[in-house]
Amino acid sequence: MIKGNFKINKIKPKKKSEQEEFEELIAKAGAGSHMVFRNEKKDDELFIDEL
Amino acid sequence: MKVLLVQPPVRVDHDPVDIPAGLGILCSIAIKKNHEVALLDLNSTRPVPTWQDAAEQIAVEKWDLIGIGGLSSMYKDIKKLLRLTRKLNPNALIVCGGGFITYMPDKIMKLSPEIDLACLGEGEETWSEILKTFGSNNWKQVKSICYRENDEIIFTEPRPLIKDLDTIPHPAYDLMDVDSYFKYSGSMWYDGAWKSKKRINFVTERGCPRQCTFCTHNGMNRWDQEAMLGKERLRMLDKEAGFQPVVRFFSPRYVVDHALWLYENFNVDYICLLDENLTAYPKRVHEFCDLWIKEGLHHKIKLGTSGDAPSITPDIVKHMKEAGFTFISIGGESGSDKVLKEDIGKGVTVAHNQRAVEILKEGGISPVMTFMVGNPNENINDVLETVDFFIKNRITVDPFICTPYPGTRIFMDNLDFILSQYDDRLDLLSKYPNPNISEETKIQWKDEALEKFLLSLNNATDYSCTVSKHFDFADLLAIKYLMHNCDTDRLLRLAHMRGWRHNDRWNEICPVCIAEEEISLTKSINSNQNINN
Repeated sequence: MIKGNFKINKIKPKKKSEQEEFEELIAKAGAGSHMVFRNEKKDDELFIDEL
Repeated sequence: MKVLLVQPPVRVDHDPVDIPAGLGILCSIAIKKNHEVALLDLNSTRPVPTWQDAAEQIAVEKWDLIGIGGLSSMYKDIKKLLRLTRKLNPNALIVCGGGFITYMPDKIMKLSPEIDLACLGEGEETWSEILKTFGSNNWKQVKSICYRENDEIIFTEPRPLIKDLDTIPHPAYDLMDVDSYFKYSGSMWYDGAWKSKKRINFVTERGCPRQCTFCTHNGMNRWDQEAMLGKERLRMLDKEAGFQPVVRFFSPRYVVDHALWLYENFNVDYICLLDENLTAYPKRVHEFCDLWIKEGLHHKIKLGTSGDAPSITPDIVKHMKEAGFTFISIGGESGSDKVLKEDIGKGVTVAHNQRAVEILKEGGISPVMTFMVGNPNENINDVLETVDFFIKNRITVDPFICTPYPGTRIFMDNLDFILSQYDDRLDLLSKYPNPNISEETKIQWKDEALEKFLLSLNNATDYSCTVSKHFDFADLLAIKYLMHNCDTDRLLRLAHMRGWRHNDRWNEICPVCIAEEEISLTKSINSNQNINN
């Protein structure tokens, strides 16, 4: 995702579980007339405290 | 120094179709000045990265300068991004630019305290000076920015538009995830483009000669400068730096060289020239097509672009077809001459639009037309005329909702009405003025409503707020759906349900009027029979 003209200490992306990936996809893409899975993680939190 | 440029997500419910060209150009400028530069593109994949992913990417380095840019419809994500970047880089200089901040930089900086500098309008020269001035912090000498000094927000002198666009470097493609965008090449669902394997979009024009009330140019033409500076200050700028133009083009040579480079380095097979109005200047169109064909690019790369209806002529279309254009997108906006004149202000009629469609079809270039619903004075008759245009031309259109983006004339003309949709106190005050409410209180309510409006802003495919005098948001969503389905029957039934009077022209096809007539005829026959009996 991040690209630079110098050597950046890249982070190896964490392997998400299939279920986590699916939940993210549904939460972001919506599911039309089907039930939309509600992700427990709140967008507002931004995980700032974990950083 | 270490410079990070961040592309926020945009139109997340669609595939990403546009490389971050603007930020890419700023990267090139910073690289030329020997800075360590990185581009973080949060828009290149679907689904977009989570904020946690974004934070991890930003946290890989301690940045000296962070640049974030975007449109007004991206404000809600930019706001989150600003909190994130500030938390991770408390000492970085955060610079913002683009449409979302250009028109109300003081308000946006007040709402987002993380922003140190706002870059107003055209960014290249300003960005170059910001890089030079970093460290000394002598911001008052940098034109066309806002910066903070104590508790105030200071505007510096405006900057004239760049005279020679050919001085602008190409975007730093090596810092972009170009392959990710190529994956979505077919996602531009226009003739020719949807079959492409390696499509790139870029711009060869800044500004537009039309003055559509719903449009802005990110501060990059005379109409925008007038809105930002006022007539008097603009005239002073004309005297200092020459007449500020309504439209500028990169030279055909520049465009062709850029395309040749993309072909040699990426083997692109389609380029979408995302100009606002490429066809508006026929001389330049012919010069471009001549050079494109002379370089043999018409055999290698197909093209698509935008234009305006009156400029579509058979000879322009013939030449563009030879050059390899497969579609031209035109802002049709409405099938009602009244709406086009009173609301859109484009200087175009329905007859222009109809003629353009016919010429393009005859010439073998696919016409694409976009339309809007919810214009200020548009009523049900105007909607019916627009659907009539769809039916006559056998087109399927899901119309945009007329959205008052900041900086547009419809935004400025309807600001109080817009804000009243986000604060019922303002709505009530507009109907029942109350002298006991102080001006300070009203200003505070308006600022709060403004932020709610900005956070609600979406693409024009979705509903954000309305400037319509005739339709509320429920009406608009229903009408949009019915227009998409060309469902004239239901539109006419809706008109009767809502008490909107439709013209007599529609009586013959209106199911309610037909039923009423049949019933009254039947009543009349029955009463005659009763009399006879």
